[in-house]
Amino acid sequence: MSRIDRRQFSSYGAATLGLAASVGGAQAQSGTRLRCFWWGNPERDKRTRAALDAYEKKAAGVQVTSESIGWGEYWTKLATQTAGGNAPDLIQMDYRYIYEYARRNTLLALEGVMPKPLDLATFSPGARDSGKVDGKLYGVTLGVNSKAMIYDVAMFEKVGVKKLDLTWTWDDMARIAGEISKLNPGKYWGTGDNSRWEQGFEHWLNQRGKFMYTEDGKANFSRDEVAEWFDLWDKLRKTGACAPAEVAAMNTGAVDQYEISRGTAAMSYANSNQIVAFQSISKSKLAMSSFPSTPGKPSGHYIKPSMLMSVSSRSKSQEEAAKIIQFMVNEDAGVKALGIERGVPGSSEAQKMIASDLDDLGKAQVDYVAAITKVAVPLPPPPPKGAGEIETLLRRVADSVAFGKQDVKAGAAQFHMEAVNVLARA
Amino acid sequence: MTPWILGFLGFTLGPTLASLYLSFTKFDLLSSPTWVGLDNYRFMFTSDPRFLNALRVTFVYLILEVPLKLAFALAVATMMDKHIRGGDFYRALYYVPSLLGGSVAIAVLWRQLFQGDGVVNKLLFAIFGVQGPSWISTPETSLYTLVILAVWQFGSPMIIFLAGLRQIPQELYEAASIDGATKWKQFARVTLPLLAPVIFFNFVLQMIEAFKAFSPAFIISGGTGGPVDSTLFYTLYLYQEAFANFRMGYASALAWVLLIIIALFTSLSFLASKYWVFYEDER
Repeated sequence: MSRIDRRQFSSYGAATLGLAASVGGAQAQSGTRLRCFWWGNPERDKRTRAALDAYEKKAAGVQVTSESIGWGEYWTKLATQTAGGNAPDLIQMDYRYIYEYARRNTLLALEGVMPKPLDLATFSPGARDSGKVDGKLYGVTLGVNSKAMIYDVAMFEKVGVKKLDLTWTWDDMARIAGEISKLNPGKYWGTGDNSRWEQGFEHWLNQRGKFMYTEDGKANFSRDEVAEWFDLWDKLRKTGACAPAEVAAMNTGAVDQYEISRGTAAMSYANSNQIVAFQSISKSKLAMSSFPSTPGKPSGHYIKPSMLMSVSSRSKSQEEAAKIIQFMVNEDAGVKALGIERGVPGSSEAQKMIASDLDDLGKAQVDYVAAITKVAVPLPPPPPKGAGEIETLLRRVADSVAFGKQDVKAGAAQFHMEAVNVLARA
Repeated sequence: MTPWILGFLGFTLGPTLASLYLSFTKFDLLSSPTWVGLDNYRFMFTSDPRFLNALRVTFVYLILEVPLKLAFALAVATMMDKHIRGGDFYRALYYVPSLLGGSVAIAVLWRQLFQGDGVVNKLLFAIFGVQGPSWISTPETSLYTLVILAVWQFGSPMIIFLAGLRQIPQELYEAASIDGATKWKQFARVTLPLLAPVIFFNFVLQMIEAFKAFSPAFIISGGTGGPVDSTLFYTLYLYQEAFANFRMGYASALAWVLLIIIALFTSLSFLASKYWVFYEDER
């Protein structure tokens, strides 16, 4: 009884936010109601709401209320709702968290609703299996991406680089970044400081054929490797190729705070689907390529689900929720409404549906993911509990090294020790 | 009365007791809490360098911010006390920062002012010809930009001081000036002693507020307390542990320790006040 009250209460809440279509109408009493929750941005919210509206039109009597919020607050809110027994029916999941949620039985194993109504036959095995935890499927990939170096085309042209391909190396990066830094000394640099970003360190480990964490969630890197990583960037900082600590420290991780967005560096580490967001706030033309490669070593790039859609194990309308996912990933109207804002669709059929609508950036993204797929390393196991904390830990320690508060060796020792502690405490 | 009691039980006492219980547990929101006894407190006092750092940051902030803000507020209030034309307008104007200070827009503005190529550095360069650092993202200076932000919001203590100043009988000043006391002497011998209860009130209020400082650091550092934990206020650390790292048990323990610290410092202030705060009906 009390749960019904809470549900009604929260849908009223959504309605007052102007997100729900209508509440208390005649159709709402007889029909099925579901809630859908995702982290987003204005573009994603618009597209997702359009897809849900299209579904409501198709399925009479079904009403889907929706809510979206920023990445940071999303996990707090989702955890609170889940703890209160009030999880949304449709939950946007991240690869980082799906393990935890699935293992605590808060998500529905989707085998029960497959192949009808949910059919993933046209998905590539890699895209489909990325939603699997312990052999069962708990989430459907809404799009795939890979890490990508976003760079300023005009700046690269100024130092004679027309276009980057996937074979560019660390040495190339050091050289190009160094030359760009000379164009406007003390104000503009070749690259942002990427020693502080987990995705950079992870990629560097992946290039050496290692995952950052083991299958059972232990740290899979040594103190020496951390030192080597810090040292690499320390040298770039000293030669002036890489922006100094006080510029790096301004980057708090929001898209508009990145060096490339603030106009302080010509390249930043990001994800391929984010180029849409970066380009929308950048005055200069952007392009993307892989992170720097090491000749004769694996690319270090893997294809990852950018976002997954999961169903709450407590949902009263699991069948309906599965139908909505089917609509989003397989049916023309849903697929087209979502586009490639969340990355390239996992289904080959869906890729064909959107092919004709793509603009230049969209095409670049699809081509990039296709090119990376050919050289990709296997998808690492989902990060363990506490990995989010290690991400911020790396930023803190890398900054203290960059500011010269401790040397590379001491920083590496601190990062390694605290990371092990965090994982033990999680 | 009844609605108040219900609200108190439901929204204050209930959560308070729940947080006391949680402080003895390990609780990540998704699984149910498990009892760990004093582990959270033991960890906090023996092996958590970030806890000690958060305390240090909070105290440095408090020790600088409270006296500076009170001095500034008193200075402005003294100037406002004269009956000048448009006094009401200026009073309202000086109160504006207090209304805006906690907002996101101001925190963003602060980033713009104190960054490497920000307004502050441009002024420094124009006037003194020196190139300043990026104040907001340098660990040595970032905390002080937040102190300045807080001092700038001197509005509410100023209004209280102003009310206090208006209570001081004019004949005391007249008597003092007949005796030949200078303006400064009048301030030190008449204004300050008679204003002591108001200063004390403002002091306690601002001290508790400084212990609870959160939003400027949260917004300016993007929730990280960075660079290198230099703006990791106690409450910001508490928030991170609770809502970023999902350690509700540990965060509850942090909250209780903060409560005890605030209670301790408030009672110390009250004890010390016996020696410098006198009320009109005393002596």
